[in-house]
Amino acid sequence: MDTEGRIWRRARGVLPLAAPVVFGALAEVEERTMALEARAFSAPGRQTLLRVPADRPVHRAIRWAAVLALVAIVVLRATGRLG
Amino acid sequence: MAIELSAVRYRYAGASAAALVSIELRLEPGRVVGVAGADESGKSTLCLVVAGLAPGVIGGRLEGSVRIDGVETTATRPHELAQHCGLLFQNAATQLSNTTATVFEEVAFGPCNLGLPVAEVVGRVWWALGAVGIESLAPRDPTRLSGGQGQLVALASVLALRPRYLVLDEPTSELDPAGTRLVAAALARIARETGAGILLVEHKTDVLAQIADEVVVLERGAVALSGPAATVLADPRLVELGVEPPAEVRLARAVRASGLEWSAALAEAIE
Repeated sequence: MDTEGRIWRRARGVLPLAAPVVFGALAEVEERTMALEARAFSAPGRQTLLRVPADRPVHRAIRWAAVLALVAIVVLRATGRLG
Repeated sequence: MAIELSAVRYRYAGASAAALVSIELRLEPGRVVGVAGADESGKSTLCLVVAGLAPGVIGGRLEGSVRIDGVETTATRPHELAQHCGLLFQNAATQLSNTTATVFEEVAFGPCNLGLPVAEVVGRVWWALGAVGIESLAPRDPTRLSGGQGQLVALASVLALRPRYLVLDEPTSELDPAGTRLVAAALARIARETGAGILLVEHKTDVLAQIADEVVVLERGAVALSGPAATVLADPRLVELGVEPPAEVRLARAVRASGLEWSAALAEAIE
């Protein structure tokens, strides 16, 4: 595969590889889909969580602070106060 | 209690010819039925049909009847079928969920999808790892295993759903002799200890000779030979059907061809 030179030259080198790569990926996706279906992937309802992460008040406060900070930055930026 | 296929004919979506025709098959719990045949004879399609993924997930047209313990697969949803009939493919890598950090979590993936209580999930995972004999792999990264180990993890992942039947599509085809021995030994143990009915598609007839009770040989989507494993695997028509007989059968023929007498004692001594 030609990896040097002008962009059209590199594209010409990549194109022949595109079909086998794409078709191979699609075939793999099909088999993985069936394998996951065979392991009840599409079962309705809530899944079991083996590890439930701790969620203390300080964690919740940080999450809310991050959301508020994001909104504040967007507003400040939109109103031109952030430069 | 059994998987029963009656007058089954299946055609893939968009295909002009049927991949399976006139299939009659019965698999009871505790029995191992081997399936052999040349490439394109319909073995993998049979696996998808028996497990209900064809036409349930991949489409196509199914005629006849496929029943698991008396219930038509076409009337059952895939996640419900998964709890009755587990399916294992050839390639261990494409069977991993790619969402887990350890083998333990990978095996727990199916039971977690069912929303079972954590204690039940943990119990099933240790049972499945024990049934396959890979408890020591529990903390390992599932993407960093050998082919044989990966296939055993995939097998344990299917077993954790506690299916009454297992459908295995050439589980040793991408394994070296050591990996093949690992998987074959695990299958023999599962058949013996869990009472699961196993449909085993396998090119390696030595594996079938080792663990199958009956063998079915497919040719162009139809059953060409069927019967007790020892009888079918010694059938002279096997080669014409594109299936290599087990080593013991080939050796016995070679011994007889050279004018010597083949005996069970000789076979045992060689083994």
